[in-house]
Amino acid sequence: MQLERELCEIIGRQIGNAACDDTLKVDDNLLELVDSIEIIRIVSSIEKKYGVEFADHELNPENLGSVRQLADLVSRYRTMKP
Amino acid sequence: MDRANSAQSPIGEDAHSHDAQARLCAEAKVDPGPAVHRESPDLLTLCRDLGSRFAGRAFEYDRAGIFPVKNFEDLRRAQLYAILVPKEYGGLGADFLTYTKALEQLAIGDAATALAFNMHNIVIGSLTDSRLDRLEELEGRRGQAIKQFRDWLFHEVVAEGRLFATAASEPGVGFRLSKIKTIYKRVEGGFVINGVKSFVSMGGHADYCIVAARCDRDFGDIPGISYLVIERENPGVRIVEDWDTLGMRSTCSNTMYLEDCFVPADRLYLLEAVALYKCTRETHWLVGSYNGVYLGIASAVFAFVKEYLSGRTKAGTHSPLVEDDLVQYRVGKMWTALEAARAVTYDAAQRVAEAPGSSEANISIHRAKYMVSELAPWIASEAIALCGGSTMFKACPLERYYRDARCGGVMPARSEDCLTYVGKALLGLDVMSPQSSYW
Repeated sequence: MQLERELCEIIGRQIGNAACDDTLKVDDNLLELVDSIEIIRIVSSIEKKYGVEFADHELNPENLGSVRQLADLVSRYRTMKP
Repeated sequence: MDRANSAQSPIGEDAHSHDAQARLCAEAKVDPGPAVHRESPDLLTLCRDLGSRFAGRAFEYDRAGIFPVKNFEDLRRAQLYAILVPKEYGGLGADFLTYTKALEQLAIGDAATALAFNMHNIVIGSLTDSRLDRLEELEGRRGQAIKQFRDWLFHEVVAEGRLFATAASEPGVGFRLSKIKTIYKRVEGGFVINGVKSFVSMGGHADYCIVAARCDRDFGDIPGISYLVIERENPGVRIVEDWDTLGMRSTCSNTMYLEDCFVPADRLYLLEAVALYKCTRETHWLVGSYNGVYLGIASAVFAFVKEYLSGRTKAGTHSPLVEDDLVQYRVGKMWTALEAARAVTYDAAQRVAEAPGSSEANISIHRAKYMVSELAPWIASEAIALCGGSTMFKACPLERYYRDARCGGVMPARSEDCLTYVGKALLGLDVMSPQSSYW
């Protein structure tokens, strides 16, 4: 999925994985790999790129656990945009 | 112990009734000296000097089981509350290895003070592990909120000299974060917490407490555990001073009741519901940060043994104890074990300093935790056996070392959990996911 690939690139750059598809899989648990501040940096980058702002209560393990989950979150917020 | 020393060693009248035994004990000399301040030659010398001062008060604090107010005042005046705050934020910028060594020096004087002090540093260290410089790149509301939290925390520690405590364990649950029952829910402007926390070191004395609480809704398989910062004066907090224990008596690890305790939204520690991931990803703060304390106890025990044996003869003879083969054997065994644990502890701390959260650092931390937790009670027991019955008296510091030393093995990660973790990691099994952890 295009969005997942894009997110993989963004996140890969943030956490230093150049070959995202080799070292970061869409279902890898990000919370096991990076700390809270890196997660927030990742979220901020994603919000900026896609012009969305997630509600605070959305930043939880259900939505942040993997690239796939983040992609679902981004898709949902993009759909909600006017 | 003559009365000229009694002002420096607050043993009091009880000790004078055991003069003979008290003289046999190598109570640390206390030289008040000039005020200890951060301009001491180096951090470890500063901590050693403070440790010496704490040793002179340790008996009294331990016996009464009261909070070591004077020790914490000394720590605060020496600006050691900011030992882990990066220098660019006004702190002393110690890395994990330096911190471990500093804690060891404090613990040689008074292990309970060092252990309680560590609970403050867990809060600071967990934050400073992150690449704080990268926060400056963050834009927007979210970035601002995180930067404000960081600035607030560092200001409280550096400029205001505030002390932070940690509240994670609970009655019936212990340290297992995934099982805690203290619950929080989101409300307008923040959160409301209800529950009970146990083993809250400095409970009722620290200015703030970082409380581990469970979200009132689930996030899949992993409980959503968050940390929330609560002020001591919060009307929803009630401390029960029920700490009366075998060892670490002056940590005052009391029970905390949280009753409709409101916490403002900006007092959420970084990110919500991810604390269990932090525990398993970076194990050093919750598992290995107090390795220095138990290493310090073991060091104090050995120093006591050497001094005790020096100049003494076998009962009824003129034969020096130090010339006895069995004494030499036991001293050699103690020292070898001590130095092995020290090497492993420093190695683990160095690995953390270089690569916090790496698998090598995590395995090393568990190995070190196991070794110091087993070493300290063993060496204290050996010392009592070697030095004899006079060291069982309360006036003798070895008696306190023995009791304090026993606490390490039941603090997380327990000794059996440490070995299981190391075994799993070495066998290539999962140790990174919360589901696989002892938390």
